[in-house]
Amino acid sequence: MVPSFSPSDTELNGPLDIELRKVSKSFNGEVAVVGVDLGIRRGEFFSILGPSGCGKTTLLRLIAGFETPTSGELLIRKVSMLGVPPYRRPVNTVFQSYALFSHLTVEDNIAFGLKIKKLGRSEIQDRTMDALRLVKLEALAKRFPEQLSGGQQQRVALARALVNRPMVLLLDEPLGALDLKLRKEMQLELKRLHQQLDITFVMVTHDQEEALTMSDRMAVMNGGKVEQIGTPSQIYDRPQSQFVAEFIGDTNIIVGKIEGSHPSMLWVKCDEGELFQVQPISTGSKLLTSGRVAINLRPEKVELLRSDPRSNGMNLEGKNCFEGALVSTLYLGTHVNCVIRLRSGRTLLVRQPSPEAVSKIAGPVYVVWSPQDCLALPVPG
Amino acid sequence: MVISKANLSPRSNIITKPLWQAWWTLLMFGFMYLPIAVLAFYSFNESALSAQWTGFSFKWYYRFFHDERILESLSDSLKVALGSVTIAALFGTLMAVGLARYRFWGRDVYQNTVYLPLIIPDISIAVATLVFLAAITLPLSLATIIASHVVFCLAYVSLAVSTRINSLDSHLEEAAQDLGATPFESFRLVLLPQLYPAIISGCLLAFVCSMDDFLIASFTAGGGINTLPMEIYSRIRTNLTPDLNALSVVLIAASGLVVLLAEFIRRQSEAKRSRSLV
Repeated sequence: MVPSFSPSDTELNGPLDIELRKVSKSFNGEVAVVGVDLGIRRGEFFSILGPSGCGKTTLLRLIAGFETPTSGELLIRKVSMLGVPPYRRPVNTVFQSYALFSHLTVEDNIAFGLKIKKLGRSEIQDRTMDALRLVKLEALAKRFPEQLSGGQQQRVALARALVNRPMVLLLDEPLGALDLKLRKEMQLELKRLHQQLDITFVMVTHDQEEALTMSDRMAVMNGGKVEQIGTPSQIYDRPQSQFVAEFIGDTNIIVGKIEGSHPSMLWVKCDEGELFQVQPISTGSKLLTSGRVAINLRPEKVELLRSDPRSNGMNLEGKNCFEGALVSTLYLGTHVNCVIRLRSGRTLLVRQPSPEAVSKIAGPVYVVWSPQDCLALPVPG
Repeated sequence: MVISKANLSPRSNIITKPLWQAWWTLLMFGFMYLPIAVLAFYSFNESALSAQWTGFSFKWYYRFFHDERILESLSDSLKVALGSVTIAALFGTLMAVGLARYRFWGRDVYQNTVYLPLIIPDISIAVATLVFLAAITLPLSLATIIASHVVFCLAYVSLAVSTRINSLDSHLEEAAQDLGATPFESFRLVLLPQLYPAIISGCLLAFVCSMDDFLIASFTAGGGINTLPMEIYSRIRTNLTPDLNALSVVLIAASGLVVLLAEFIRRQSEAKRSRSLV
């Protein structure tokens, strides 16, 4: 069974740092965030993932206090943030554009928050040095932001936020402006900082791979709503909607109608005519037993065989097996994506580990997968 | 100078060949600056007649520096320029910040009318201001010149500041507030320091324009008020004396110095940055 998350459930797994209750936000009648319920636990790395325009940045800005909710409630460590301006919230933000102060040196940028709080001179100096060491920028303390590379600017932005010892660090697409190699490096860096500092991190990103690799838990957003909240493996292996299944990773979506059901099996008649066996799962609280469904089948769950498994005496009890032909292959370095056309005319995306596995295929191929490797999701609308 | 530079350059044989371009440039420079050079030349002429050279002398400079009326009009001009530029610096900056950072009803209309004083002919501003002042029966004075100069000074300052603020990261003040600064602190500590160069350059431009203005000042000046351009104009009508040449040279030199000073300040701040590279 798939656990469903609501703020009250997460309470059992540790205290919450941030709670959103039915939070909505609209700009001049245009809806950006709709009825979001969200609980972010203390110390976790939480990602908010979604396509551009899904409201994820607005959600982050609501937490930071740059926007006020149209309705709903926002609490940070059990304190309502209603009417609390950004400069009195126990959170700090790393902006997508970094928003460094170009008239101040790296050192003064980092010390800005401490100076505003009017801390003692020596404390400001010590903490600024610590922050510089933390992001490995000691040597560049006296430079100005425009003399730094993108990655170094990113580190300054991080240090400038972390030096204030926030309860929660908010990151708005922090790695979006960096090139691939630097992005991978900074991903590790962020993970290291998170483990070292034991602060709650909330990161907004549109990069599903980034969210999967870095988060303890994540929320997938679409059209201002939270589609699903869960651990990366729950999101990837047990998506609760067609949107989540399609947004995270490659997948095959096959639409059909439930023909028969059994506590341990669903039979789905596809629009193209095949009969699929699918393991039933619950979406939310209700079990799907009838109606139209979208089957979600990950390309790496499909086994590709060159000869008919039935004639080889392979046990196919309860498995899905179809004959097809290889249409094309796409080499992707770490793996190969193959397009297989089934007899019904449907094409399936199948992932194979190496080019050798699919070389010199001329005749028919056979695709096999288990019912528990595919999911029946309710068809939206 | 242009020619020799082109000839000396070892790599740029493309530039060396069409020599007529260099001559054309020289011609244009001559067209622009020869009258001024002639003016400067005759300001040192001992003779009272411009047409002939009788010897080198500082006497015209001495004359106007001891001319009470000139000095008084200079003081009036400075009062007008400093007054209107100070007011424009304050409100022009606030106007640019408000237009760039806040959304309010009528903002687009406001934004597009801010720069109108730069397009509307001075004579229209002069007449309109005079008619308006007469309508509300406000007596003309030094203050009325300042008020009318604020109109175009405001446009210069807000134009310069707007250009700068639009090139800045729009999240700067948010970042400051995120770090604990109140909106006022974030304006003072983050936004303002980034706007200073623009404010100063806008002010310098406005200052020069205010010092230069004859039309608007002569329409809106009260009795006994005489700005420098008004004084010069009234003298030209009666008799043209070489001390006006000298005065013009001093004015040109002064405005040149202002520009150099602004450039010096700008380079200083840049040098400070590149030094810290070491």
